[in-house]
Amino acid sequence: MAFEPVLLKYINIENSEKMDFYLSHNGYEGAKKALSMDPKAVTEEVKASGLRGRGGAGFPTGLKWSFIPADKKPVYLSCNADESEPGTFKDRYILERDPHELLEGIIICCWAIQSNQAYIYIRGEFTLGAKIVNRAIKEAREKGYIGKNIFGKGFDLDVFVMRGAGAYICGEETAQLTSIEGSRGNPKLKPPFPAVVGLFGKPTIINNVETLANLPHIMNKGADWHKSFGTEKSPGFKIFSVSGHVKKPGNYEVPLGTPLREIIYEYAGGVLNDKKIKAVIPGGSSTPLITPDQLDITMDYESLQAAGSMLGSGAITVLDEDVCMVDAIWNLMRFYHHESCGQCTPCREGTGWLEKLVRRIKMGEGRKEDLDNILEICANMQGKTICVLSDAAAMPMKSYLNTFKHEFEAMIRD
Amino acid sequence: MSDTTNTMVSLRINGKEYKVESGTTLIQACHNNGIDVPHYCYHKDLSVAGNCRMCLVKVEKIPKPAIACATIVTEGMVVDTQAPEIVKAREGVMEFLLVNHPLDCPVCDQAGECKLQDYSYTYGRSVGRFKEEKVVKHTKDFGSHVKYWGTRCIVCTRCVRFTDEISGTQELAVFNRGDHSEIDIFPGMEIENPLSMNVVDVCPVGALVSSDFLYQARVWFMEQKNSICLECSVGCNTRIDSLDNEIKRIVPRDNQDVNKSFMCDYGRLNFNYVHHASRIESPMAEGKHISWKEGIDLFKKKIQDSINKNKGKSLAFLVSAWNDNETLYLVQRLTKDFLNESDVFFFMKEREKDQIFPKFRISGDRNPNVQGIKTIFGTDYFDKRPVKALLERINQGLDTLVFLGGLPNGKVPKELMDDLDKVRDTIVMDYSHSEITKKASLILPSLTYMEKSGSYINDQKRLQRILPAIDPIGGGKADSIVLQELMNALKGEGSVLSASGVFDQMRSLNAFKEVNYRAITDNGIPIE
Ligand SMILES: Cc1cc2nc3c(=O)[nH]c(=O)nc-3n(C[C@H](O)[C@H](O)[C@H](O)COP(=O)(O)O)c2cc1C
Ligand code: SF4
Ligand code: SF4
Ligand code: SF4
Ligand code: FES
Repeated sequence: MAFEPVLLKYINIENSEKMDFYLSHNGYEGAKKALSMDPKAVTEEVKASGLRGRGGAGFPTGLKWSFIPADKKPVYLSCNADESEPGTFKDRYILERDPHELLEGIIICCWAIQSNQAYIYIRGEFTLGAKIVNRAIKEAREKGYIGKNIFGKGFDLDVFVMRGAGAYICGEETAQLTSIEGSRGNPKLKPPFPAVVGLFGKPTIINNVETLANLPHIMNKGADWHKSFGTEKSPGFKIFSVSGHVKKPGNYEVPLGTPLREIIYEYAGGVLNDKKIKAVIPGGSSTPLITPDQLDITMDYESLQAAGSMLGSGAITVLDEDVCMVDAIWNLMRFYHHESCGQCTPCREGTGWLEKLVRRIKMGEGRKEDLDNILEICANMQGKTICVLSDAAAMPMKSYLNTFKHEFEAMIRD
Repeated sequence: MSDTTNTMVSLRINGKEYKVESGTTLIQACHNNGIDVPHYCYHKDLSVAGNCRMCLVKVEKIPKPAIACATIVTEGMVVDTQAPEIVKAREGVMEFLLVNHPLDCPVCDQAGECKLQDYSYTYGRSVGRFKEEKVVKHTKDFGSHVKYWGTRCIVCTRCVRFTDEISGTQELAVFNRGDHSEIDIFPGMEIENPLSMNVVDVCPVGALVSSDFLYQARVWFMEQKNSICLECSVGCNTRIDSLDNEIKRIVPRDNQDVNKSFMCDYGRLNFNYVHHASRIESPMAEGKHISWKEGIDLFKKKIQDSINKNKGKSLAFLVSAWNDNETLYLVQRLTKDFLNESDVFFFMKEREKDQIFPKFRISGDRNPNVQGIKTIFGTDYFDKRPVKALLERINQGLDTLVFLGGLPNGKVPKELMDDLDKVRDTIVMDYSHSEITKKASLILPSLTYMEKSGSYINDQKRLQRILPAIDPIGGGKADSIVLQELMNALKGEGSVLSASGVFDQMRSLNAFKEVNYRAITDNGIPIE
């Protein structure tokens, strides 16, 4: 536990969200440095750092930026602060406690991709976060870090806050853009990808809050410094939101590659009432379960993939031995049923069907054939839709059922 | 795209090589080559939504099944539309589509022309696995002609895209999310635009139905005949559906050069006059029913008298722009051959304002064949002979007027009526009783465009043909037939030709020289 948090270093200190505080802790030095460099060199530095997107997909950030066509203007950035996946609550801390870290990251990104306009799409329920971010934008504007000719470098940048209205799907990048455009937040077909045809038809980068918050540090300390943390394929550090049956739920920032066991037992204080673990959701509600025999797994993109799961957004939920897995998955199915935008047939109908099936089993009305049907419905939902919400619903359903089949069978009286 | 439209791309579909234009989608490539790809949300005249997921195909080097409607062809692409995993995926989609569907085909108007039914035969299961409670959605009138049955809706958004892209009226949207998604009109709006009923046609299922056609007929019992709409100069291609010789509905027929897949409500709904009680049952003279033989004899006698009296100088024709080319041509022949100096005048429905939508036009010229008159008689001739010119002629003294009407609902030019008493003999060729038939000394009943053959020229100079959609109602005959009978009677010999026969003679006119009647087919051909 020798790692000293980078992103969350100051969040427990009073006034950490204020400009004065931020400036007294080396604030905006990274942005100044970036703006003194060639934009391409900034992208190269971020590429070299190996930083991967923290919003869930883990896509290499510098590589994504390099997809912006050189000849299409204007270019937009949308900072994804819609954080709505059950169990994920890391971005919220940055918004509320260190908004300038995010704004500095946005400035660096915008310079790299030569965007003069950035949106921060904040989840509707985050009223406090939105207020604090807006105040931070005002402070930055007063300082000349946002607005015309920022840092006196002849570069203009405007940053706007957009508020979600409560739809999880608006965290999906193309839905987010549709929502910013003023339409119903429906995901769009890809290709074309947003980096080529995005917001208002213009090239657009969508990056997660945590991803962007990494940038000032990479600028200040360099790509090599960033790569000195984590593993080869997952460099750097990551915030894990630990929830469920642990003694100290909360956000813990650790180098990627830290064992899951260490995060649960050392950072989060172990299982509540010292019970046994039944299963762990390793990376947000859509990621397949990790079982107690896999607790030594290291938390990095490649290890979780090898284990058939995903690092996702880094939301670890611990389920203790007393949890009814049918009940647990019903809760998730309710969520996905409620959040499907309803465009694609498999997702629209599949999410509802799954929820109703699981609910019926939970109520003791299950039939033998239900379990096979569930698996087939999941198969029909995966890999066939516009966005991956459909997969995100099917994956945990399959995982819970396959891993804890006996619990489902026990509830079926035939 | 313009620089790529002419280049061709070769690709392999189901083991066979095809060459298609670059920039086309896979579904277009397949459909253009007769390969079926099932689809719901794709509509060739609307933007791509890619939401139904029925058109999945297997494309080499793409890891997941791809939707054919949104995948652009690339050189060397290898496509399989029938791979086992694709069939299975479509079966999955079909099953999902029916999960919350009421399966109420027996009482659904769409039955028989429903895409859910069509694809169920290939991809459906015989036994449903869904044992849960279905989502209930609303049933509602969206406007006076359009009714929505939410439970049958598959949320393909074709209707929404129509109102967004074609009519631009934007009354519709998807409301709610997930399996509660349904289509509705925006608060305070109704779908009352002149193109409203197209949303019924674009709806692939029974969710949007026509209030006018509701429960009128089972579609598989109806006769379906291709036609064109004559209610304005656009000349939309249509199909007329009838049951027991009664027209039940008119629907648009795809013609990419004229109306795409759409038509306006006015043209669609204006057919009741065909069956109206005012239709003329037989030839009539001085208020009495007579036989066709007597009618033709009397017609001949009246014309002959006029010729004998003053070489036809006191005889004129008033011809509407609703007559087909063949009739117009015969009027011209008749006047040339027998009545050297007599005049032909023209009347039309008054010009209205054009109605322009983002991707559709309703012409303010509410006559189907002004272009035909101009082509046959010449523009100059046409311009000099409005009803006003005829009135002058009447006031100079006119014995006989032959009136060739043909407007829906027996419309006649109002300004003519006051002066008509000054004409001794008015011979009317029209299909329903009207103000003018009251003043006629001879009435020769004609046919509506839905009961006869002939050709028309729309305002884009496209020659299009009509065919009888139903058997003649009442005792009418096509004007082109009656005029030939008259000419034969005047000559004392000759046979009566069909529309195509008359058209062949018409090829003596420059405009039609290169045209073969049979080549007009159902799609029409441009003329110059
Ligand atoms: C249904 C759905 C919900 C998502 N929600 C979020 C979210 O709340 N926040 C987020 O950053 N990314 C979310 N994502 C991922 C985004 O689509 C996108 O990959 C990400 O914001 C890219 O940023 P990154 O490269 O910095 O990770 C979601 C994806 C899906 C399919
Ligand atoms: S997969 Fe689900 S959430 Fe995503 S676009 Fe399709 S219906 Fe909407
Ligand atoms: S009403 Fe018909 S056209 Fe409109 S979305 Fe539903 S199924 Fe599609
Ligand atoms: S636009 Fe003209 S031709 Fe087309 S349906 Fe309407 S009235 Fe008929
Ligand atoms: S037709 Fe392609 S997804 Fe609907």
